[in-house]
Amino acid sequence: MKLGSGKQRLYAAGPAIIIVSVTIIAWEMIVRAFNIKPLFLPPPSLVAENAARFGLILVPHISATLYVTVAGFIVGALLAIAMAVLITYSTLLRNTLLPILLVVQSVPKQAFAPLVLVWFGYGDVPKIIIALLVGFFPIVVDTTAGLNAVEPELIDLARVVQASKMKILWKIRLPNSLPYFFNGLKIASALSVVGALVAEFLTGTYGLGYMLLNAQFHMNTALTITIIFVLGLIGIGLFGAASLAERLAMPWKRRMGGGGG
Amino acid sequence: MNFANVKQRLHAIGPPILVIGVAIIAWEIVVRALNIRPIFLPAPSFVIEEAIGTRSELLSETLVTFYESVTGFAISIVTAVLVAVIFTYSQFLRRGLLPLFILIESTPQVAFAPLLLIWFGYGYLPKIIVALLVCFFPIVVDTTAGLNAVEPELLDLARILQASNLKILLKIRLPTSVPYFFNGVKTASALSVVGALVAEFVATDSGLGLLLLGAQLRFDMAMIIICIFILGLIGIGLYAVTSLAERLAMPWRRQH
Repeated sequence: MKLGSGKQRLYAAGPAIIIVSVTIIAWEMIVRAFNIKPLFLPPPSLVAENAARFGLILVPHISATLYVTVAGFIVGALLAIAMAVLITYSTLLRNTLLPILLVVQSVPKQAFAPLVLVWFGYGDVPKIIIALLVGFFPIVVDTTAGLNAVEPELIDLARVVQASKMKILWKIRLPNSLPYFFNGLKIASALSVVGALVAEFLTGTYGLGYMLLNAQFHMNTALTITIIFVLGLIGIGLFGAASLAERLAMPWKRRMGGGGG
Repeated sequence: MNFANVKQRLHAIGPPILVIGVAIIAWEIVVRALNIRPIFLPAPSFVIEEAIGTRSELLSETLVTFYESVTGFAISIVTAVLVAVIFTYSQFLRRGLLPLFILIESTPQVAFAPLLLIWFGYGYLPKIIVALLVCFFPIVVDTTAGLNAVEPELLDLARILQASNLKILLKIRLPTSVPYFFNGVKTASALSVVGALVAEFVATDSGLGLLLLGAQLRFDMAMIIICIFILGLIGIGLYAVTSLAERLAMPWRRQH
């Protein structure tokens, strides 16, 4: 199974690898052939050279952005789970807060960044709050849906055998909500990077958002491309971590080949 | 439609409206009672006053952001559907690009804003492109999934009846993809405002993003709150329009 699936994967990734390499080669050739100024579009070779030169300078900024993103993501996820459980058990909250949460989901949370910065200053906390805000809503909405997607017969059965509310939560509702929760978590993983980035755009002291604006200001297009690439890797990494957590938490899903929408 | 339905709806939206109303009144009372300075938290009445005072500026900047969001959103829908259709007919492109698109979907596309400003200068174009970029990937990924969610037996049947590729697309694949398509479009509807806003943050030359940044620097909390409110309305409005289009396009779903 190991070797076969490895080969199969390589086969599946083949076209993507071809397209990426052809694009990079074409990019290099076009820039050289048409003598495009590096200010406008540097060739990949120059981007790599530039990345090697600025690599060390970028490291503390990468770790700053990573810290804000991951902290916001994790705190947001924990708060969202707590909120989803509260909404499930309180009819009052479900009737009042849930509709508001659903509506606020389509509000651009990045717009709250200036407000949070005025209130909490320019340290790490406001940035984490902004990353948290962006990731919180999809998780809370999806997890609430999951906690309430239990078949009513199952709950009736649990009540008949006199299971406590706590036991129903732990043994029925939470396991049932896992696919929904991870769905929200995966959406939030990409969003929390956007939240951290926007917070750094607005504070302008350090982090990849600051460096990105700095590179733009100095017309260092090669560095801009490097930073976009690093930010992409962070987003993909978080999404990968969320997907891995999903596989570990729901081993039964692995057998089914990850189908579904 | 009928009376019972309206009553049911009123029952559903009653509690949240009540909560919001009470929150606004409490906010006004607390700010007045504790004498909180407007620089920290202005009272709702103060916010409304400022909104009325700056209405012409607000209107013109709102139109800018709205125009950028909607244009980027609309272009992304057209291009994403085209690309998804191409993916259905070219296995090589689908195999090559779809995994990349899925990867790019979890990257922050707004990071392209500074690069686009270097390329296209200031003005509407770079912001429209950022909004487009943010919307494009969820729509293309979902629509491609929808176009390929057709039961293989149905395709076999169509081929036996010698249906052309175009007919299979129009009569089978596109109708099947509609719910998936709207799923992606609904995700994108809220994101388009984020794209335009963040691009404006970076460009700082026009739109609600500019107003927000200026208000942040002046500690003008009332203006910040007004801008958040307007941006929220645009996001909710785009989502509502998309949901309405979904209902109109899939009348059979309304019954549920």
